[in-house]
Amino acid sequence: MTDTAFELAALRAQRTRQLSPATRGAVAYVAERLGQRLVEVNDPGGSICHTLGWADGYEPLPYEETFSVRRLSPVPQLALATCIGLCWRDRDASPYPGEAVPFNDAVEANVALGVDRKHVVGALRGELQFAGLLVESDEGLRLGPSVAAWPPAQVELLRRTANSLPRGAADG
Amino acid sequence: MSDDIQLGLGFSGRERTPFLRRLSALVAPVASDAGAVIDDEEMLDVARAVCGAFSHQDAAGGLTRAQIAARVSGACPAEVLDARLNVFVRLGLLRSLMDKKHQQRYVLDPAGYVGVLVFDRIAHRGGIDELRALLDRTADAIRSKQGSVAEVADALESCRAGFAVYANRLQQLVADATLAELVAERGFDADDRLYQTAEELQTLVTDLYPELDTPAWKLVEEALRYVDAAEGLLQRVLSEGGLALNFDQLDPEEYLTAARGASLDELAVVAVDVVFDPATPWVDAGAIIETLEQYQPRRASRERPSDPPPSPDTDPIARIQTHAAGVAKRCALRADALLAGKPEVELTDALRAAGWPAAGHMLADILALDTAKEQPYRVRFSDALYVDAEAPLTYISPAVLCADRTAAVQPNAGDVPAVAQERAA
Repeated sequence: MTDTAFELAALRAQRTRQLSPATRGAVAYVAERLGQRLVEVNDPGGSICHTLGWADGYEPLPYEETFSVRRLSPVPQLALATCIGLCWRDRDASPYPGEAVPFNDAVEANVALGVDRKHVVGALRGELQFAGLLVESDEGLRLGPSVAAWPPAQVELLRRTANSLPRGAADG
Repeated sequence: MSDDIQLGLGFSGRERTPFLRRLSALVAPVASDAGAVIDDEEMLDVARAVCGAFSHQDAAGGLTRAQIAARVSGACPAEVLDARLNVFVRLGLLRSLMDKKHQQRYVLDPAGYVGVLVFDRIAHRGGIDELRALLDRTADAIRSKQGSVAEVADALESCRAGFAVYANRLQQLVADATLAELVAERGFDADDRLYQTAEELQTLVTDLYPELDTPAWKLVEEALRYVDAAEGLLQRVLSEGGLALNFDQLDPEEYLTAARGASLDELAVVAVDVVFDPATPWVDAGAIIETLEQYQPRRASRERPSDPPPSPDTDPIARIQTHAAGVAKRCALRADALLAGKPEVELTDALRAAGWPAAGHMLADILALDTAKEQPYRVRFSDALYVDAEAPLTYISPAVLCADRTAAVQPNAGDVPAVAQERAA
């Protein structure tokens, strides 16, 4: 296995990985040929690392019958939408990494929407973090590297409908 | 001998499969030259088909070549079948029904049929079953004391030699063979039952032929060496195959057995070196927006329905009492009107003048007053009867209404006047 192939496999397996300058270009080149792109993200220590995302126009179309994917159930999706609404304050910038929001604020914002508190906590602490969509630190919750990997077209669609994102107390 | 043959090529230059290599080795002791053995497994299928053609009762009278060809139809091309039949006839697998010239009917020699079975078993299992059978036959002979000391010694030596040959071969494979060769040879039996059988045989010999204890012990040593070598081969297959992630090394049945019988930790070892994508459920902006639009919070618990609006009616008992009092008052007023201040009055004329049904209503009201103890009004009827077929009242008894105001009983507060009850009835 070549270094590039190894780095690419490790990047997929770890979701985020620090790439050396020597291999970064080669990995980006191979990823581009696969319809993907390298995205810079911050690891928990604050240093720069990378993750893989789909290039615009190359992402799979899960709505077609030929591509079956596992989807988030409504509660985690609602919890994610709330966290995006809370963390993504500057709508002109990229949603990642956004601003940290206290965990309890995110919970209360969802409870205010009528979601069961226990289910919200489970989604915020479990599925959304396992999927890399949220990251929890001492500061609170932030959007995760999987959000950073969203194609620009998806981000633009989210930006156009950003007003519908719940924002907790700010909604009131 | 050329290098090509040593590399596993057959006499025709085609590469021999492991099956054919065993087959060649099996036949080598009786082959007159190196080209005596087929180098195509399909040729053995032809032999099976020909044997199968003779496996029914109607073959008792022999079969012609045409009948054989018809029964093995599809097994091989006609010219190949003809060539094979010539070989079978020359080697005696097929014999003429009668030893005459131009005899066209053939019968199958049972030895040839058994030969096909033996080839299948030895070629696929490596012949270790023959060694097991030899051990069992030797043990039976010793138990029944059928053989002399020399014969038992020869049998023990044959068994030991068999184990030694197999053990040497396995040790050479474990040391030098490629993974593919090891997989092809993994039919060797690593079960230590062979070793146990050899041990039992040695115990038997020690008891019944103490002078043969030494060759019996050598047999046990060789059996142990064989089992160790077979286990070494399997270990190498599993370890190298596992590293290479070659899932073809085990049969589907073996995978099924592992899935049913192995522990979670044992099964997890299979994927220790496998790299997986992390679990990433699909979520995009469109899905989030759709969820926001469609989400409706579920009610956590049932709410008690709101109280019904208060009834516009007042107390129903009081309403009944008020209504009854009104009725009683109206009847009393009517009676007073009839009396016109007199203590009693003749009602007959008034009733006849009222007609029907007004006379009935009037009489019912006055009779209701008569039954009420608290009212002073009484009605008396005479025994006379006025009959007038033309008038609205065709017949009526003369009635007198009187009022005894001194004997009237004052009603208690809340009592429903009897006159009202009568009217209600």
